[in-house]
Amino acid sequence: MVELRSEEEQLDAVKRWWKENGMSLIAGAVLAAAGVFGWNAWQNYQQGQAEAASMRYQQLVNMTAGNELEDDQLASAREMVVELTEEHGDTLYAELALLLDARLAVQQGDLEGARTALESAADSSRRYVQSLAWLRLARVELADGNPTQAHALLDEPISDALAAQRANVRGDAFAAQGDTEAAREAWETALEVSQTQDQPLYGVQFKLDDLGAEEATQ
Amino acid sequence: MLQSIRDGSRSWGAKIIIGVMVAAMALFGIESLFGLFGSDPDEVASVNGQPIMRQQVELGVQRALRSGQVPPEQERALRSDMLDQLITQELLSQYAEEGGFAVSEEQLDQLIVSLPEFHDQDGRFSAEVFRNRLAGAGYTPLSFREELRVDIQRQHLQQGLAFSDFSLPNEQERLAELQRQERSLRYVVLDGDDVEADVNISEDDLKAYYDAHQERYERPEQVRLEYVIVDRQAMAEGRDVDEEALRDAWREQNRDADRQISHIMITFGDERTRDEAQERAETARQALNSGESFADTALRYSDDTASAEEGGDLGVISRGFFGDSFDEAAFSLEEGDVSQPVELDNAFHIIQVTDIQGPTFEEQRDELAREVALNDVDDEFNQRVQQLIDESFAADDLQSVAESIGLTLNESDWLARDDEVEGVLSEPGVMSAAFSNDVLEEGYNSEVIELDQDRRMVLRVAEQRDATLLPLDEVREEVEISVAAEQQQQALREEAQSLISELQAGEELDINWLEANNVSRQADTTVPQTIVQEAFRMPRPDEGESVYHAVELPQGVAIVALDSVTDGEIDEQMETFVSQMAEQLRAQSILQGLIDDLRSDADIER
Repeated sequence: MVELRSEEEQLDAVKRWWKENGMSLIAGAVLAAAGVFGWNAWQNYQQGQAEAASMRYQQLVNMTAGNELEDDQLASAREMVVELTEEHGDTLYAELALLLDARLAVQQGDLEGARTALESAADSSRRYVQSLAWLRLARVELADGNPTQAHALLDEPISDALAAQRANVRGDAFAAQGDTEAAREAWETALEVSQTQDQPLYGVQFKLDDLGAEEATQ
Repeated sequence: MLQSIRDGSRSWGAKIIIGVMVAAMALFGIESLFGLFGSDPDEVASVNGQPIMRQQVELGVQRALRSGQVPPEQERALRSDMLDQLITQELLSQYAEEGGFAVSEEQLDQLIVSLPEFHDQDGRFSAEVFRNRLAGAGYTPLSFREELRVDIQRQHLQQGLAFSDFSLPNEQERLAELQRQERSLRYVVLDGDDVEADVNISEDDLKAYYDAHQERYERPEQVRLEYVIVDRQAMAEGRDVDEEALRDAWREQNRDADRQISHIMITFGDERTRDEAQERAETARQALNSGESFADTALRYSDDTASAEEGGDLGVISRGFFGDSFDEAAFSLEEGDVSQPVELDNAFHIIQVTDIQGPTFEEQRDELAREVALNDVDDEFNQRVQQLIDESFAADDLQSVAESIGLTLNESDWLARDDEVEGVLSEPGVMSAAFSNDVLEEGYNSEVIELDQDRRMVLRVAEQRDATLLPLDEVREEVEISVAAEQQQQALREEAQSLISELQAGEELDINWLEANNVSRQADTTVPQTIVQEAFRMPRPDEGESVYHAVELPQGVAIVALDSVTDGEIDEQMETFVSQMAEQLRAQSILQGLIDDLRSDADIER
């Protein structure tokens, strides 16, 4: 390398270098900055959307948590569900809102409404939400007098974490069909699984007891 | 190669990449380019790649301990629970995060302001209470908000799952019906008085019972221990303490005790010079020396006329009331002593201590004697402990060590790992040392165990015996008792069955039935709970008939006759209770289920 250039030469060299490389460096920086700012703006937008959904959702939860709703409250709760599902469709908020909607419908004695909401929730891509929806849908079918349909829903790939409840509903379905032995078996499974998974279930023991213990002497 | 890099760096692509890196560093800081390398040694677990740090576990443990909800001895269990809990929380947070959960600053503000923990006495939010509370719990406002944020997200998730559960009318009816069902029954308990079992125990019976219940006759692995203890207190007990040393100790302890003093004050400045004042003070001191009372001298010489009227009394003072020079004099005197004149604030003072407030020497004597003795044996104790450390490590027995140091060699009975031991062996660390690999397997002396600050122990396994099945002859008596009870119970069982057969055949028997009509599951009755439970498991009898069942009790066998099953009265409260109970338990299961579900899929390393 040539040492000791004059100042003018150095300046020239810098200018030359800048002429050759400046544009591409600036282009890189501009590109990166545009990317970063664009990304931030997108993130901010997303964040804003998510926060709006969160607010709505919280209101909805607060409303459904309490006792049965007055008509006007019910209407506004329903509106929130619609808003959440339409504007924030792929979020977990929307899916939980559907589950809450099903509860509101059951409280109103509207099994058809509950079925619709749960069927939408069962389209979820989240396994657990989906499992819960199938399970609850099966109970709604049973309440509506369709044990065959309930069995079909219980045959869906419901998460193993809900196996105890699934077996319990399965027993109910058999009992509704008058198949006492199959019901007993299912309830016994439910009891066993609920103990190993440490998920207490209410009433299974009663239902089993009521069948009369097998070894009892007549 | 350098040339090729230079050439390469001229290309458009490379320049753009460099530009991006420069921009990234400028906008996000240099960390944005790292964080891809290696894992931190403080990382105790990772959940789907998200680390959980040792500090988080520690912080959680400390908070729980500080809150007083967890006793300190459970710290270890708490620590492992805490990690588990953090993993669960992380899983739920990730699930919420992926689900698009977000909490705005506004929501946080609202919540913080509404929390009663941060309210002042008037029930309104107070920034000061907020800061103090956080500081007490080891949070900064920022870290608290962050934790609250994820907390709310998890809560949203759990609320949605739990609150969306419902009870359907058919389910509710069925459960309420079962819950309020009532059964009418009769029962009689047969015991030894009813059936004189003809107990006849053959050798074969014993053998059979013994073989079938071997786990009851197993003796676990046991050791017999030898141990020595160096005990500072025992050493101190035999020690004579010099009376003068006790006095010194007492004086030392009460050096700073509050004391009542009197003084004679001789001022200088306006009336007399410092020299004149000093001279006058000396005169007064000589008057005291020559036997004049302090009160008289004070009256005669003191310029503090108010106190002079009271014999010079100044009241009780603590160290630090007056200046150092005054303290030095006042706190070096014993009761009744008089100081030389000391100078303070343009005056000379002669001080007398009239009373030292603190325990008297006699009161403290015994305690002091103990303390002094303990101090006295300190060096000897340390020396012995050192000797114990050295010799027990080198020796392959404990007898010689005990003799060399002059300790008693103690011996224990046979002990199993899980035995409830008493006395010194129950101190923490002793049994675990006895069953440690080095002591039990290798046969070494244990390390020196620090029982408390005054006692050190070394133990060794003198004898060991493996877990073994005790031979029948050794436990014969026990087996006999069990077999007799078993035969008795069997006789009762047979008697019950034969009675039941007769009852079923419709025979009238003279049985002293105890009746219980319309018993519900939850009713408070005198009927033993086992019998009620069994009665609710029996098949329903036909109208006018009864169903019979033999129920095994801890002592005896009961015959239960179920006469009727009725639906019980409809009860609003019961309906509500049933649906709430069912919903609550189901909600609980659903939340637990989510955690199980997430765990089954998660990549958790710990």
